[in-house]
Amino acid sequence: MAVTHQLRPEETDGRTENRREHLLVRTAPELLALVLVAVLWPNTASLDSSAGGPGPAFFPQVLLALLALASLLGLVVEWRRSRRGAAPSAPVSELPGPGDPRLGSEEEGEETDLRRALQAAALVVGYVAATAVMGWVLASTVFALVFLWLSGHRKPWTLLGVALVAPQVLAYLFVKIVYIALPTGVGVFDTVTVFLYRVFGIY
Amino acid sequence: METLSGVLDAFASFDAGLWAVLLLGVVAGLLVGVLPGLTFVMGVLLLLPLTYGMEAGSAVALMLAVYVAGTYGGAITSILLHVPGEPNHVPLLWDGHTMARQGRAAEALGWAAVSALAGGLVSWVVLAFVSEPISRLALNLGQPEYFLVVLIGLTSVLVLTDDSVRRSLMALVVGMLIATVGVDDVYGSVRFSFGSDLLRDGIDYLPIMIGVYAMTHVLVRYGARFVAEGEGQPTRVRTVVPGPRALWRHRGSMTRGVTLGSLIGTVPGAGATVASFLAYGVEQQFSRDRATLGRGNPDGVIAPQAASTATVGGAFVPMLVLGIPGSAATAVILGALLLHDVQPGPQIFQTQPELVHTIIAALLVSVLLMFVLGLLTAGPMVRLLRVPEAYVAVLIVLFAYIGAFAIRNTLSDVWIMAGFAVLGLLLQRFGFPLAPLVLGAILGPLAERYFTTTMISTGNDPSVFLTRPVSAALVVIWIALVALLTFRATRGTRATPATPDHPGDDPGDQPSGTTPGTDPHQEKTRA
Repeated sequence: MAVTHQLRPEETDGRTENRREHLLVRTAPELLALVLVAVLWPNTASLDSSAGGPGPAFFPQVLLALLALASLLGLVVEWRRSRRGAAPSAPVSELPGPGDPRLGSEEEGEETDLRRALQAAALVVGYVAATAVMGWVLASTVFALVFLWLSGHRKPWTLLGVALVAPQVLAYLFVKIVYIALPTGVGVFDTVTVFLYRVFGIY
Repeated sequence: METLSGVLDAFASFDAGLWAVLLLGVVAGLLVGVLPGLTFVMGVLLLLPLTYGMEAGSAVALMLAVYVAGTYGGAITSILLHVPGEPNHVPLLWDGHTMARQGRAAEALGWAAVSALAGGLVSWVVLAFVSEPISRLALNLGQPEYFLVVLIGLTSVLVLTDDSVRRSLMALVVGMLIATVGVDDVYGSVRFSFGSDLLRDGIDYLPIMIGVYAMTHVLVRYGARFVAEGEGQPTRVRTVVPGPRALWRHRGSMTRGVTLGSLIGTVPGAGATVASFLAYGVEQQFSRDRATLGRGNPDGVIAPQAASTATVGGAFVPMLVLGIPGSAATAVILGALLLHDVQPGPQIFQTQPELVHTIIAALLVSVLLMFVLGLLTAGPMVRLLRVPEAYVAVLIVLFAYIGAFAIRNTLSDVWIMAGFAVLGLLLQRFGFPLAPLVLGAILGPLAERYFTTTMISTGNDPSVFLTRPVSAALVVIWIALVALLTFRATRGTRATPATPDHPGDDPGDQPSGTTPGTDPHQEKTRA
């Protein structure tokens, strides 16, 4: 569910509270940027060189200063807007999915649900972590199955076909032909992966 | 003449393997152009790992072919189904799809194909005949000039963005900061590692690109449940190539499109999408029949498509000659060249003439193959849209993993890719554009290196930027860009008048008008 839905002002006495919350969320990137500046700037102090020139700290410091300036400007702009009670001109909106050319399509359809998109992000992170243990082929098979299932595809033969065939084909292409040593996993997973590689002629 | 004879020799030395690579690249490019889940930048990125086992010429030829064909492939679905396969094909919805609704789909497809051919041929001429003279000029450039060229590129990204200038600046700066992590190129100091080996090794821009361009899109589309509402597939797909009279009648829009595209392509940070929208905007001002733009006027197809494909050759010029990529796709190709131990720069015509001539020859072949295969395969390509997008998304994730892993054969880059996928998702959520982030990561290290070496060699004397004539001229250009940027930021005007609305957050920002009296979001209800 979008943050905007959660923060939709309710008909209570907490309107000011909600506007402040809303402002906090809207300016979250600027606030995080200032935190980043505060964390990184002291790190630059220890950078030094006797080789002449501006030194290794100069460029990062210029960038951090620019970032701080832009963030402060954003905070001021948003604060002034909320004081005037004006509607935010750049609402913290749903992701620009359908209808936004930045994503390369103008399809109508459901707008992007941030919570659901974060679910996909968790899937991807889990997949990457799993490859270290299970190896690329097995982890990719599981990932494909789960991803397609959660996307609403339920035909078992199609699911299995795609989840089993695609990783094997890509493994053949990239491990055998291009010589990329994709992770094979540890323990029993390594054994199974090597077995599959031998069956399909990769090893 | 030397370049031309070198290119002819390169043609003569094309073997079956290289022809196969070019054919594969063009087919892949048309595919990624047609499939809405993929962009040609993603296509070039995802095929990158395939190139590790190839020699440099074949590697670049493959990615170049994908790039060229990808600038055209999306025109097919844009015209027939109102689904732009690529961001640069959004303008084709306004006239191309309208023509299809008027029963003139074959004519629209023909114009798109011919315009892509014209743009591609002009881009080949630019690459073939402009790059070597520029490389000779570039030999006289020093570190100050290189720094200013990169600075102009970084500033152009902000000028040409359709989003809030302030947010684009923040994204750009974050990208440049990310690139400072790790060991400094000039001093060898370790920056922002926080004791982590992963950070100490630095953050390469390729995993960032894969994460932000490919993976973020998968996350966003998953969040939208892969729902898409294109129109029903046509029962018959035909392409009619315009005759000489029609070509002559529309010579104006064709000329404007290819000229604009060639120029835009050379600007770092500007690519096919910017060129396409700008070309449409120019047609709104200069087309003889501008009153009918948006109502099925072929000029609305010709100019954007010609401009899109014309950017390819122009983007290669700064990449090959200066080592500064002219577009996101050439940034990936630059990465591939570096992985193959090829260092682009003004000396490349002396040190690697066969490679350069192969690239130039490959561009011409790719353009011709794109035209022929585009005409022949439009129908089958459209049928591919029946493949559920979720399956394409799975393939993107698998390819993205391999692409990130294979850069340094380490899981660290895959984690970086995944991290930037999430970061890209959150940035989009809060209205921050992603292109400046990526370009900052690519161009930032170059800017720092050139600036630092300039300062070291001059004893920290910044007047060198004004005392050298070429530098001084570049400083003037940069100041003009900054003035334009400041004007935009305070007035909220858009650099691309035809770009669909996307309100920024700066004071006074107003959604820009698109085509006068129309809004591309209302396109679906028009005609």
